[in-house]
Amino acid sequence: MKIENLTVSYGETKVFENLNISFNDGEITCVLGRSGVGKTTLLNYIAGLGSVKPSEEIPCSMVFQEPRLVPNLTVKENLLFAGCRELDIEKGLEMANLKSKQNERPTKLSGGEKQRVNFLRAVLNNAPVVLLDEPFSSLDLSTKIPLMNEFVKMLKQAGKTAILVTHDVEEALVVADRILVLDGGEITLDISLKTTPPRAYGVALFEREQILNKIL
Amino acid sequence: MTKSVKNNLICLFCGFLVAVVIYITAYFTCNNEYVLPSPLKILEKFFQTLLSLSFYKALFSTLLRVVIAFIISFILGAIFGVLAYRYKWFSGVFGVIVGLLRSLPVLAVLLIILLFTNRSFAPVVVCFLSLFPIIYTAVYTSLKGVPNDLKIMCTVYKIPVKKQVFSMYIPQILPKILLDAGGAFSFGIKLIVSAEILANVYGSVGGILQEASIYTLTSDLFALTLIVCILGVLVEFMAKLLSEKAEKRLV
Repeated sequence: MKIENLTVSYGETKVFENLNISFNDGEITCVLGRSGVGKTTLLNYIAGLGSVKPSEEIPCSMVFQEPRLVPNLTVKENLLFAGCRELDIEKGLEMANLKSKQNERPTKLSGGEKQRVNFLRAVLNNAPVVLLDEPFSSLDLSTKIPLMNEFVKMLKQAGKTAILVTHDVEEALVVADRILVLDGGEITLDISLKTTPPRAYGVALFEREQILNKIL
Repeated sequence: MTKSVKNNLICLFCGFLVAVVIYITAYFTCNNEYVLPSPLKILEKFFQTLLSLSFYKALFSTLLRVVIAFIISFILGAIFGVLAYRYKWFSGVFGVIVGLLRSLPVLAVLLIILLFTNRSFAPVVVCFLSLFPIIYTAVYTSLKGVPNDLKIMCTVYKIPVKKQVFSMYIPQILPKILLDAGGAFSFGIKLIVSAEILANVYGSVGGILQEASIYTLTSDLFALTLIVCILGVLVEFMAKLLSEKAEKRLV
C-alpha cells in the first residue's frame, strides 16, 4: 500500500506536504511521533475520514483508542454489526478468551475486554489493512502486555497489513516489524526490526535507548 | 414486579395522596359545596361516570382525536427530526418554524381555525400544532445525542444505513422518544379536552365538561377532571416504564 504526495493542512498550518510512504503487505508498521505531528491525521486519511480523501478507497478496518462498541448490542452482535462472519467470530472469541462474554453488553466488560472486542472487530473484518490508533494508551501495563502479544499473533495469523500509530517507543518495539518516525510532516527515521514480533517487553525497554538516541 | 416499577408506583401513590390532602384541606377551608364539592360526592360521581355508556362514547371520540393528532405529529415530527439531523441547513430553517409553533397561543389559534373548519376537527389541528414541536425536538435531540465516535466507526466499517438505523440509532434514541412521546400523548389528552370545551364539541369529554359547567354541576366537573387527570398520568406512567425498559438495554 502506498501513499503518494499527501498534502494536508488545517487552515494555515501544514501537517503534511508531499508525504510519501509505502507499507509492506502482512507487516506491522508502527508510526511513532509526538502528539500533534499528524499520526491520527495519517490514519484518518487512509480510512477516508479526513478532509483529504485517497484517490482510491483503501479497504480497511480500525482499532480505535476507545473501544467504540454499540452499547445496546452484545459482544457477538457488535462483531456481526461490523460485518464479521459468524464462523470467524466463533474462532476469534475463542482465541481472545471472550467466548464466555459473547452475550454480554459492553457495560459488563472490563477495559481490557472491551479493547479485545475492538481489536477482534478489526481483525475479523474482511479488510486487508488494519489501522490501530493508540489502542493501548488507556490500558495499564499488566493488561497492555498480554494484549499486545495477543494482538500481534492474531494480526500475523490473519496475514493483515497493520499500521499502528503511537507515541510509546516500547509499545512500538514490542509489536512492530518496522518503525517509522514522523516529525515535522515527514518521515525522519525508517527502521526494519530484525526479529519478528511480538518481542518481550523487557527487551523493548532495553532497546528503547537505542531508538531514542536515533530519534533525538 | 421489578424494583423500578415498585418505586414508580410508590411515587405515584404518594403524589396522589398529597393531591387528596390538599383538596380536603381546601374543601374544609372553603366550606362551600357549590365551589368545592365534598370528596365523597366527587368519588360517587366518579364511579357513576365510569359506569355510564355515554361517557365511554365521549371518551372514545376524545381519545380518537388525540390518537389522530398524535399519529400525524409523530410521523411528521420523526420525518422532519431526521431531516434536521441529516441536513444542517434544514435544522437551521426548521428550528425557527418550530420555535414559532412552540410560542403559538394554541387556544387563540383554535378560534381562528374554527372559522375555517368544523368543531370536531379543530381540536385535532390545535393538538397537532402543540405535539409536533415536542416530537420533532425529541427525535432531533436524541439523534444528536448518539455519540459521534459510533458514527465514525460505522463509516470506517462501511455499515449499511439500514443496519445502522435498526441496530444502533433506534435502540439508542428509543428511551427518550418513548418518554417524550408519552408526555406528549398525555399533554394531548389535556389539550384536546380543553379545545373541545372551547369549541363546544358535542359528544366528547370536553363537551360533557362544558355542559356540567353550564349547569354548575361542580361534582360532575371535578369527577370528569379527575378521570382526565388519571388517564394522563396512566399514559405517562406507562411511557416511563417502557422507556426504563428500553434504557436497560443500554446500561
